[in-house]
Amino acid sequence: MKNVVLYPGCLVLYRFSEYEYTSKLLLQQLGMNPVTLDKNVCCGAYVQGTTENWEYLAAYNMALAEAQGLEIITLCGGCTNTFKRLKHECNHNPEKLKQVNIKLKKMGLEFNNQVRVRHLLEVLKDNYDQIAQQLSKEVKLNIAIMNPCQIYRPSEIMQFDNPDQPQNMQKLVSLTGANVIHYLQEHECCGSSLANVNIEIAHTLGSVRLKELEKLETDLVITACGNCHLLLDRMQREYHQGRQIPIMFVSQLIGLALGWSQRDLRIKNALLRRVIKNV
Amino acid sequence: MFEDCIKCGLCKENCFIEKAGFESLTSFVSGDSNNKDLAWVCANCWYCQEHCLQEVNIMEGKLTLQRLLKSPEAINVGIANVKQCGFCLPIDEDVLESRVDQGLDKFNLLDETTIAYLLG
Repeated sequence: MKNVVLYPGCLVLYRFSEYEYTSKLLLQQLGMNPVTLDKNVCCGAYVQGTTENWEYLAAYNMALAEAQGLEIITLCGGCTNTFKRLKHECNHNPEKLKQVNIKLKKMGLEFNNQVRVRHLLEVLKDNYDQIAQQLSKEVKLNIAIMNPCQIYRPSEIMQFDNPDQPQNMQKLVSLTGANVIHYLQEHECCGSSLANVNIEIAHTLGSVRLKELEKLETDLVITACGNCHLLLDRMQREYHQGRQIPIMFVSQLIGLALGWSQRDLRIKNALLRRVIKNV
Repeated sequence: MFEDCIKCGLCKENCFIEKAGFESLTSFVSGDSNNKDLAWVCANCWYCQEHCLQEVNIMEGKLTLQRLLKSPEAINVGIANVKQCGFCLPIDEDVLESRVDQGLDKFNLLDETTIAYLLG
């Protein structure tokens, strides 16, 4: 099996082990062996508003993976975005690559910008046929999608899917037999990161989305980013007084359709367990 | 920053935060507000930059502006965590130990001195 780095990033590492675990199982089922980078750090996204040196964090993580000759598979939009942006910058600006390596050299590391970086959704898209062949359960539910916007834009750099109306996640969810719900905010950012700046805005954005989804009789929402999941799942009770809508990671949904056990699906939410009980 | 902007307002028109009734970074960029602190009212979705007819590097301008401003308290807490453990959330030995029980690899944290070197 081919080794790959599964990079959780701060939020998934701290709050969403179920996403990392089910992604690990899914990658194993697709013939990969996910490993964790020793001494990995934040991708740099979190600090970029306070220092230009966010690039060193991104380069450091990528250099660690490169030293082992491994691809990085990310789970959040922000991590994917920062890694790919630095790669793009280094591709187009040799001075940037030189600058980064002056820093890393003192740590005994070198970044050659050879490492491949893909978000989990890109990996799943590339293994679509293999997943389709292995599905054993039909998920007959009304499912809405929360696209991780930062893996699509800026499109010149991200080079994945339609940057305004991405299709791959929808295609993947449809593959499980689910009825994909289309809604007004379908292609808009979740706004989760605003919780650090102005909680009222983050809550309003979450509320508007969930009210719309409640009207459309949505059974559950699928996410593919820790930030989206944080706002829609963990904070839901803080701003949404209507019917609670369960939120599930894409790796858990595919696992469900692949016939995984409840134990492997790592469903922590009782409401979600009830919704998928009869699948 | 935002030198090539012609104040057409397309960024603001397309911003999902503005559509929800709040002022965002795009109100400042488009010249409808002088409040520089709006640089922090952005969710990093890149939609405005993707659709800017002038191809203004709005996100780079935003980061430059943010670095000149006082950052929000919650961001500062996260930055302190990054300096201490390498992550914006308080990852410690207990969190790393619990990974083994969850079927995940345990790993070692990067030391504070090296983190400071990377950020310095």
